[in-house]
Amino acid sequence: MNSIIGIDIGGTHTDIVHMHHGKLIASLKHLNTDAVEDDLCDVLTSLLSAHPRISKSVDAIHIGSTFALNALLKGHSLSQIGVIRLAGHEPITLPPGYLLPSHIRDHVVKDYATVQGGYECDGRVITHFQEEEIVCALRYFLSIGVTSIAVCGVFSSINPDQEIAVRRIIQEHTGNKLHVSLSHEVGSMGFMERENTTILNAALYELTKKHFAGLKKRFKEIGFHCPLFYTDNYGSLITDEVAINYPIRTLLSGPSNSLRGGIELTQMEEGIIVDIGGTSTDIGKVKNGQMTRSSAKTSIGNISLNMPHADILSLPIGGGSVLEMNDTSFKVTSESVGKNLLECSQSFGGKTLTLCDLAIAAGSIEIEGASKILPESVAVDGLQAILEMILSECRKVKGEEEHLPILLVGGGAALFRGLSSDVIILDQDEIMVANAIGAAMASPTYRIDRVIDQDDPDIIAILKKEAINHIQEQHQISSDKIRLLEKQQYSLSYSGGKQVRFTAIYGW
Amino acid sequence: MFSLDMLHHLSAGMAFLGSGGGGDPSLRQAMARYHCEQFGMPEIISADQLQDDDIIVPLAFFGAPNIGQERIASGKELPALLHHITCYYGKKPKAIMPAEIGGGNGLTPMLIASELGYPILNGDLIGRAFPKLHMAIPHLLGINATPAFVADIFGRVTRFDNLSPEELEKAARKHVITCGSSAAIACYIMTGKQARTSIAKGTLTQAFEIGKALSANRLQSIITQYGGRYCLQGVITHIQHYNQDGFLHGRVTICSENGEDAYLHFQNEFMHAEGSDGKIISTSPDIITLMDSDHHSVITTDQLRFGLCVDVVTLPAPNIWYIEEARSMVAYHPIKEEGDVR
Repeated sequence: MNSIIGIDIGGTHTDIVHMHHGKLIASLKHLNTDAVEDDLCDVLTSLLSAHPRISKSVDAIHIGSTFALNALLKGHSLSQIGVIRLAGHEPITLPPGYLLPSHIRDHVVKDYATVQGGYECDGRVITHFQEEEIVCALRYFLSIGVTSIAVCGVFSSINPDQEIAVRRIIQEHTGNKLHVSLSHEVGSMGFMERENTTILNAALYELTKKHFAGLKKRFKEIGFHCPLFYTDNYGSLITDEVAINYPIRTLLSGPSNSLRGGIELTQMEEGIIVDIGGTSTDIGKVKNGQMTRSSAKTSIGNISLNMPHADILSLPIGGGSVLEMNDTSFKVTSESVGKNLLECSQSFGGKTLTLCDLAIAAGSIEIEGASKILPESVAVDGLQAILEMILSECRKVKGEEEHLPILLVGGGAALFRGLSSDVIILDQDEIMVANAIGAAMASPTYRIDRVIDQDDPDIIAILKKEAINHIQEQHQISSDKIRLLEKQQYSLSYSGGKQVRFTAIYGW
Repeated sequence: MFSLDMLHHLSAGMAFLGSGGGGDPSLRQAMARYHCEQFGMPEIISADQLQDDDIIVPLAFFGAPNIGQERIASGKELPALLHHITCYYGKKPKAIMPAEIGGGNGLTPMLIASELGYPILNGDLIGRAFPKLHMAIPHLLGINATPAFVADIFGRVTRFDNLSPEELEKAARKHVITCGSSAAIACYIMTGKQARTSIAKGTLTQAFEIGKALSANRLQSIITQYGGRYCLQGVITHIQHYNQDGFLHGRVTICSENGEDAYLHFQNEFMHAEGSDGKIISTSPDIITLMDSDHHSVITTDQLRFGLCVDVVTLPAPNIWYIEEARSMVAYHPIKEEGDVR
């Protein structure tokens, strides 16, 4: 790919960049309105009017979107869903969605049906799957106004066949009208968390489709005929079709895009990237030019999920963080003034003491119209203490690899300029649009997460072929470019050593 | 005695007493909460309230803990056990109790007590978590582990008769594989008279007190109250796993503030803590607990992460574990390291 447009839809701004052979050609920032489609079209039109020759040469548009995350946190306009549990032992110990926040549990999950099926850890079925039960459940769901269905089967990561059969049956009976989210496609081991992940995906589908399904057409009208991609939870590319069907996969694309942007801007092979924004700081580790990933449980707005994601540690520290002052020391509170920085900060005549005020008083940054409200030495000491807090979190992320360099990026990085020789702070203006650059530079991957028999000599080759075929089909990339990025085997203590959980990521 | 919003204290305290093992109680806590929301809180009774000929049933889930995270309990297991036990003895048991206070199993009786109207006896068979069925206080005091009852997810019950605790451990472990590697068990079923002298008493209260103190960040008060010891603070700098006999074994290295390394060996539970010079810091049967220094939460052996800042704390196990016969049963034996498997 030679010429890419990267767009990052953030909470307040939509950023756009045009990258040519990895070099930044043009960039723009756009203040968001309430209509995400219009913002996207506006920002593209603005770019086009500034650089009229772009559209003909663009190979693809990559979008990083926090739309799903914000929709979930707000909880409005989510679909009414039905849950099908493939669990022949008919568990009544916990109902679907029990661990979700009440606004989702009570208003999104209309009802559920437990049906025969599911697998044991050794691959046997718990009970045999029965097609009539699915038809029956479907009829019931339709009668109560369900518009999207989540399916979660026990050990579907060992064998997804039953879940796939459920989708086929529902689509046959509804003529593809009802959307079906399958748990093995969105989450990993751990039934309740995977079921939650599937429920949220089903809840987000219609809203995502409403806003994003027509985009390709509108982009064409503006003059962009290229394919459209989105970035996912670990900063990889997914097609627009996948992004619309699996909105949950885009939930965490914001922080992973900024990390990817940091990697691209610095060509970092190994190290720690710290993205300091207005309200939060994201810390991630880079290995072999890639960000590290995790399948461990993750928590978003108090929702416990188990989908694979970039391994990022987020701290509630940013340029707009509100500080409490005790004598000459400062405490960072969990509050932030966010986009109202210039109105609220004391340096600009406001009433709130922010991290930004410290940086102005310390002389790390200069902003027109700002006054220094503290003695320089006090401010420098305060900033240093806060930087030390961030660095101590970085040391946790480093683990044993103490030699790794620490790089500060993002709009808030400059606040800490000149304070410590332990960190590198980039001087480029590109830092401000690192997210969009990250989206532009994202590449496709395919993730395998299966329980396999160690004695089966062919299985890994089969899975590899599946991964390569998938990437080739969706992204038109020649197979010799696709390589193994990451591989892990976990022993499963119950299986007597024969079965292992195998995860691998292929990409380029 | 306990209310619904105290469940998380109870659960945190049980994790603490798990010595790093016994599984993550969070799923079990959710199940207990759901049960109690529907049927109310259970009555908690003390061993002194029992009649001599009362029947007391210790309950636990056993097998591979990660199975229960995926194939969650059906809810048929425990009622089936209690039904069969009632038929077998010809009378309804007086109370149920956790077989093991440490980890997720501490809450197991709360998944059924209120619905079926059983009080829960304040105590357990171990006073902490141990990985094998024969590692139990009643065994040390000569109480039979059998007849023992095992129920699978469909509520199908198998009875084991005339087996020593070690034999039951082998037989039940073999049987549980046919149940998909997780099942519910009732063993060391005893009389009220036996229960007064043969269990770790008051451990539900202990777990609750610990959990409450943790939530208020009063680690030191737990140490003072239960005669424990604060060992060290440090950062996890290395984690090694090796697999043997289907149990999770390994070693975690903690670099303390003064730059010295300490090693924690685990075999499901944290079994042994030593300095880099080989000097023993604490060893089984001591309860060795790892705390996340920043979040004041317990870290189990499957939640270990590089770079975590941790406190190592030990509490004594119930006294009986320190007699020679008991010590040798649960002592730490180093195993041959087979290198990292993950």
